[in-house]
Amino acid sequence: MKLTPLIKSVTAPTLVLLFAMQSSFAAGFHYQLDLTAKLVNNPENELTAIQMSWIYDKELSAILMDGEDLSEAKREASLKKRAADILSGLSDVKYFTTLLLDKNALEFADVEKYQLRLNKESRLQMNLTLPLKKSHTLKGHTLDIVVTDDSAVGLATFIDTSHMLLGEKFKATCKAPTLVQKQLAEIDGHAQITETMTINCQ
Amino acid sequence: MKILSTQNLLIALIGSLLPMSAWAAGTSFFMKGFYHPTMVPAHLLSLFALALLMGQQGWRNSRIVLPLFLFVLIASLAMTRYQTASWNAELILLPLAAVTGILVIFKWDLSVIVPSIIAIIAAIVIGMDSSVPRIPGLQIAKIYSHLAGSAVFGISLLLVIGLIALGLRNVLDGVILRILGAWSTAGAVLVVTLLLVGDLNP
Amino acid sequence: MASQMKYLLIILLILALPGMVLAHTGEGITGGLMSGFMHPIAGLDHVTAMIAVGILGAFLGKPAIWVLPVVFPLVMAFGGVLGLVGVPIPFIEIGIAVSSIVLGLMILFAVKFPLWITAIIVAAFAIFHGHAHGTELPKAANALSYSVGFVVSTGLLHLAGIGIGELIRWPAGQIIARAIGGIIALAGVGFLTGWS
Repeated sequence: MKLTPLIKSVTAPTLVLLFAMQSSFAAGFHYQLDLTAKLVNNPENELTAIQMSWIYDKELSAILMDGEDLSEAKREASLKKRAADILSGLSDVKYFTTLLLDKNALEFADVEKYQLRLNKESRLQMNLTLPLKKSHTLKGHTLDIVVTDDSAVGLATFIDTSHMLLGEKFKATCKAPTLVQKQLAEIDGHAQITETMTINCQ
Repeated sequence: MKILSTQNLLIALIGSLLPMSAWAAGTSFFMKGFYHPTMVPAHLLSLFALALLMGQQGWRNSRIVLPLFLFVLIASLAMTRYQTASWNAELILLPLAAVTGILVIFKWDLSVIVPSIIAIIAAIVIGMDSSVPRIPGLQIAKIYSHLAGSAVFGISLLLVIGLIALGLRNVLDGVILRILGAWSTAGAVLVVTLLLVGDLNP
Repeated sequence: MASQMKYLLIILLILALPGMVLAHTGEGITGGLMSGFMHPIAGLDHVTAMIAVGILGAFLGKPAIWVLPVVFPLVMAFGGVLGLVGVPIPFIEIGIAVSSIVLGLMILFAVKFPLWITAIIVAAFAIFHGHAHGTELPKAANALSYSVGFVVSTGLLHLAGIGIGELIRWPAGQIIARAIGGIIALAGVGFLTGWS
């Protein structure tokens, strides 16, 4: 077949297709992680770790478990396998979390306690305990827990202050937490949102 | 006109892809990667201008530029697994699109070196700017699917627009391609100015 | 040649479709594209001038048929740059209105200046149009999409004008094209006197 008629045959429907395709252009992938956190203390009332529960949105949950055997018999094994992968990924992004004690960053130790489960709504829930390298006294200080995804693809959010649990000991010495959300930047069309949960124990 | 003529079959084939457009945006990482460049206008504009130039220059240059672009694009996409680019892709791609548009306007008979250089720069910058959305725990297969989707889109756009440009290059003294080239240059110049003015006056 | 023309007109019709972009909510990239695309079309003063440039190019034949629709967006971009960096140009709206009058009259009376003079006239008016678009750019949600949108719609209007101008191959077409030139000139008077 000659080239010119072939080109002509292709042109018109291609143009129509290109225009039609515009209607389904995705707005870029974006996901949400709902965080609930709880402060962990030692008998001396020092902060030693922060327990975190990350609940993934449905779409991301489906993506991360795509291709895995979730039958009754194999579910636990599949979740355990994926938990290790997901934890490794979270570790690379420092768990989206920065802890600041009087504006000084605290260092984390390696996570050893973690568990991945699938809740009733088929949403993944990653429970982990993020230990600090050193324990710290909170009394007389201010603790800021800053969560953000610096790639802006994900939104890590506490939703509200009820998702920050102080525990009985810290409740007695610290004020109720306050939450501030800010937009830091726009990256590739996504807004980079940062949330700071402040616990004032002064 | 024969019902089963090649033209009608091509129209039917391309038309049958239309429903894909509604399904595609969110069902697989290949398709997410495929549509990713459509969300970055600077990628589209530079690819569009390059495709116009390629088609206008004819098969003699295209048969070298096309595989060269594909090879460099694949290599750059693969690099995103290990390295992120620190440059501002828009400030490279937009001037590139502007220059390419000017070359299309003048319809000079260029040696293969010029479109090759443009293709290499475009492929490197687009590739390095097309990293997979960072999702902790995302399966490797999905990552490479996404990258493959971006590569397929890039080469497909170049092919389709290039083919169309090939057919239109001598229609009415090449007016359509020249106008399209002028569009590319005008659009690119305006936005580069906006970006630079924005940097000077944040 | 006739089949090439038919083919061209089909392309023009397809390109002129608003496309599925209309289906979008108007946010982000597609929102910017749509608002940029609509900006020249929503302003009748822009529409008439763009079409006039296309008709004029077709009237003057090669190489004006591509020189004028190329000069216009390029110089328009320059005008846009001036608008972006804050260089004031006085009487923008008057300049835009006068562009319709002058270009329309040139078509109506089939004035055939040398190409370089016509190009300078078109370029001069393009600065006014570009400056008007450029001042809108910073306010656009997605500047690149906006600028691509308005450059695309400008080009489409030029192509539509070329399509109209190509009618001069037929005697009746000459009358139609020149009549449209007259309408464009009248519209320009309307814009100048405040009617729109």
